[in-house]
Amino acid sequence: MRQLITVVITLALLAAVPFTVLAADHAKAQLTVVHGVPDLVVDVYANDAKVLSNFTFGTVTDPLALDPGTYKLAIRPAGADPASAPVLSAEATLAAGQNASVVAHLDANGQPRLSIFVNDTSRVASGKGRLIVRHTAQAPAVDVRAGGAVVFANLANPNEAKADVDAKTYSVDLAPAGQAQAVFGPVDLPVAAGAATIVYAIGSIEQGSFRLVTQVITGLGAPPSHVGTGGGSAANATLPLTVTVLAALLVLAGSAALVRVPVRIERRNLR
Amino acid sequence: MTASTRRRKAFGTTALLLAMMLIGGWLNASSHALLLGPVGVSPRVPEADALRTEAWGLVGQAIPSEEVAVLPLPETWIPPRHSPSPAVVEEPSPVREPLLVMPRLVEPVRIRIPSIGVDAPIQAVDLAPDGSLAISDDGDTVFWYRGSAYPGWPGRALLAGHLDRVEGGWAVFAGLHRLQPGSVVLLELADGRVLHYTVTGQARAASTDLPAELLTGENSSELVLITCAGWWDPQRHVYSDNLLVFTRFDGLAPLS
Repeated sequence: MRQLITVVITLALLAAVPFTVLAADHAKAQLTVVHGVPDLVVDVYANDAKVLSNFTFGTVTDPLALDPGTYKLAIRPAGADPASAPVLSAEATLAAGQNASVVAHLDANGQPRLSIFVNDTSRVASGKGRLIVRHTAQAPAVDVRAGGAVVFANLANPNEAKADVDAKTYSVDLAPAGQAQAVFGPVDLPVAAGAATIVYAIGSIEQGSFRLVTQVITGLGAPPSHVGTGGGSAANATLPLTVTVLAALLVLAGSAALVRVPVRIERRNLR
Repeated sequence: MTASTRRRKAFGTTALLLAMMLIGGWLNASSHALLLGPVGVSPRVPEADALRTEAWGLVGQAIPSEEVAVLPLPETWIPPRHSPSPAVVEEPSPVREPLLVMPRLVEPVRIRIPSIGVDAPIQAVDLAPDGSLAISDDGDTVFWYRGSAYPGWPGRALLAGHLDRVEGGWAVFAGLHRLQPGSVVLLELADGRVLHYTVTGQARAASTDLPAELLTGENSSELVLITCAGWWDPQRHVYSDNLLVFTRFDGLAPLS
């Protein structure tokens, strides 16, 4: 009986393969840096260490994987003494698993500033994409329009607006809030399924440096509830004859020994 | 209990166990085993920094490495930034010259796994209304879930292939269980680039209970290959399990 229990336990352990490989690495936070101040080439520092050199207007970094914690971010002109007073500085506190973006940009009056946005990486429905628009330009409040219809109304610096929309390419333009005449666009903006497309308006309308830059976060679709990759035909295949016969013999022999079938050979009759 | 009884019971148990192993072993060899076959789960292979740097460089454009500084924090890794744009869309406008800068999202079109003879086209799919992956019965095609990560981007890209065919015979991912840590997977993108992956391990999940973490691996770029395993339920027409093979991204494959 004890052997049987051991066998059962062993089988159970073999079947219950732990999902160690799946353990997600949620320990890190992710930070994307966006440069939206025209005519300024900078170095970016985090906790007094230089993380980006010669960072130019219109650049969006790949996400930086950072340990959670509070970071002192500082921006200095490219090549400036690390001990010198920064042009811009801010503190960003990143939680484990958090995805954030920090933007150096002009405010509505044309003064440089740093804004930090937390990126919405929640799941999007199948076939949908998340469109996020961030007004980080020296420009008045705008209506964001797609195909002529207002999607986000009265979006002002330094705010964001977002919606989950059908994944396709939109013809987007911008008009001063409430006005018909576009000041920018139209441009074709692809919104991918299962991804967040984050659009930053940067630069200055007055000075002609206004433009859109984008950051994309893919892989935001819900995990499938089921992946039906079986036809069933293989399951109907029969065991090879040798395997079947061997297994049957072993089953018979084993059962006989366990059940203790009395088999007595009458020696007398053999004489 | 006499000595002979003990011997007899030991023999009987051993014989039964052998019979089960025999059948189980054969099933394992024919790829849809569950009962006895231990699944090779290997620990994560530590990513090489150099390789990862290249991995992330894919998202944008590569820049000279001397421009990439590293935070002096333990286990902190800084990927290269991408420069203004892999793809610049400029369109004329009567109002003002517009400018939109976007990173390029490129879908995978073909998968090759030399060690198990896989060379198959890839089709992009979404979820069906019931939440399952909307794949066809095509046993020669591998399906990439559009809601998973784009290959080369942070996160896990999910690629599903059939184990066997409705009409009979094995299908494209029948040999998936034979992949060992170190096996090579090549993924070709629509723009002709080929991404190189290395298998890191396998896992198994009940097909009715796929882990919620399936697509989360946000801090690296990985592939998850998935097919069916376990026992066929002729009533529900599903296998009991899914076999998952994990890979890590090594970078662009050298041009051949």
